Amino acid sequence: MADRIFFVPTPRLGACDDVKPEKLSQAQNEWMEHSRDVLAAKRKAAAEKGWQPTSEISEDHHFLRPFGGQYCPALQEVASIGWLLKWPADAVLKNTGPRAWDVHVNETNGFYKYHGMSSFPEGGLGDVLSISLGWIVVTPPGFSILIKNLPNHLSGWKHPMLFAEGVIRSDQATVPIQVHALIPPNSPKEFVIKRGQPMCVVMPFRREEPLQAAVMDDAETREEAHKLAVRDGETFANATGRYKELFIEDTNHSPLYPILVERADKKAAT
Amino acid sequence: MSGHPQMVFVVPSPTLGRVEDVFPERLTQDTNDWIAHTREILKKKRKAVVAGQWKTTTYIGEEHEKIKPITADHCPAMQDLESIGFVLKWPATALIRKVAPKGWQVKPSTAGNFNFYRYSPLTSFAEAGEAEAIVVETGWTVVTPPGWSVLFKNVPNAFAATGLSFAEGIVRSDQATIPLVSHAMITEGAPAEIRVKRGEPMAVVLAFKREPVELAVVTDPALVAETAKAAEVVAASFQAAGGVYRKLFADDGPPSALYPKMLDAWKAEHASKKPSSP
Repeated sequence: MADRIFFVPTPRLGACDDVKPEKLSQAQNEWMEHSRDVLAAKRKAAAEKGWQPTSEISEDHHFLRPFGGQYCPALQEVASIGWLLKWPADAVLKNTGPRAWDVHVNETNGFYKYHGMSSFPEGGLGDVLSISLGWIVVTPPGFSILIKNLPNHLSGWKHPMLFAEGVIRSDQATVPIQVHALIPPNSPKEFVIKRGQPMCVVMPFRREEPLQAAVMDDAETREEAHKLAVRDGETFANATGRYKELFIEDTNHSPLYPILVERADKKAAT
Repeated sequence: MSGHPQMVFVVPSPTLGRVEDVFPERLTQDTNDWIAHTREILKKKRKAVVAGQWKTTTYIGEEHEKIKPITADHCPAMQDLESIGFVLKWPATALIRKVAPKGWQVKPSTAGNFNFYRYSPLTSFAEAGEAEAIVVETGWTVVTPPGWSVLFKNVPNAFAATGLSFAEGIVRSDQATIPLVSHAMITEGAPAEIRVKRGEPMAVVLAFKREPVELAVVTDPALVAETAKAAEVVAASFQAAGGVYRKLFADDGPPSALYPKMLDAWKAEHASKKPSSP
């Protein structure tokens, strides 16, 4: 049985059917929309202005070389790592000075507040809010969660709050999650937060023994890695969907890892 | 190899040249802009108190680190980020200059050499003046232990960053031996000239073991109430002193007693929904 991540609503969230966390999906991936715009602009230029395409832009692209963020396996896999938390309450934020904001909320809304550590609204510094996310997360022993901004949201002005990213030991600390969020200077002068809309992401991960990093810049390793990269690159270039077929649907471990472990150990010994 | 520490190997591409100045490093608080922000707040509050313009509601004295730390460098959630991430650095210096409403000129310093920053036909149409996204060759191949992937993401908590936002994605770096490549969007409101400097923090890789985790929303009123009560107890201990989270949960600490209870409740609920066997 797979491990579970439990989300417990805090009492003031009320009935929570409209804000239940959801698996992250491609719906939040704005590279899709962006690449569709690029494709449409290219097709239009080819049809109307005789522009000569440099890559496949016809309908055949689906089969030959998919054109669009939705086909990228690296972007697709992001959806496997986390859950989307949603804004717990409505609010309207209005800019009143270089770093000052008025926060208009229902008087019973205790989710969005100024926090003494990150704001000083009395002194004109009110561009950070402390957000109660409305959930307590309980993970299996040994699992923490990373709270992070929505991945692949591109335009700051559409999503004007920038969350502080951090790791919580949610297998031990039973606390309602509270995160600080900055309203960056490029935000619109007024914006609306709607309960139920995507807010941020929770990514559970197992705490392991600290990973050791080793930079392998000896000539032999560089050459071997380059050769393998050329080989993998050529495989990807010859047909579509190779990455997914070879590495996601099947398993083909890199031959380099055991060699590098041995080499790193030898280097450390000498 | 059993008992051997898990390693993340990073191998430079030949085009990177010498790499001492761009060695990936463990993520540290150096890139955390919340530290400067909270220090600025503290400074302004102290100034306002001294000037008699404001009466403080919380402790903001010199001993705050011992009593109740109030700057982000003490936040254990941010400190714990360091345990999982590595910073990759910009491989080359470049200027990215706005020349049209949706058009940016990329001027790399690598004249005649390999160009790490280009327009990709997938994300730009530079010939038509739509050039707001660039493709970035990081210059590094990451090799992780079997079963481990890397999440490539923007540098966390670096809100004073360049105006470039990377596509965040997952690479099965235990299998695909390829230099990491990502696309970066020039964000709305970016300065008209973006300066990218070789060796400065660019993005982060978080290595993690792939394993399925399922979501369960707890709605059982008794369990919800028990969780809220446990949260009150924890919150009270946080109020009493600084550094309690670290002491209780990072340096020490048994797992929450709630997890096995929730798991049992979930199993019971799902067992009762199973169709009876014929």
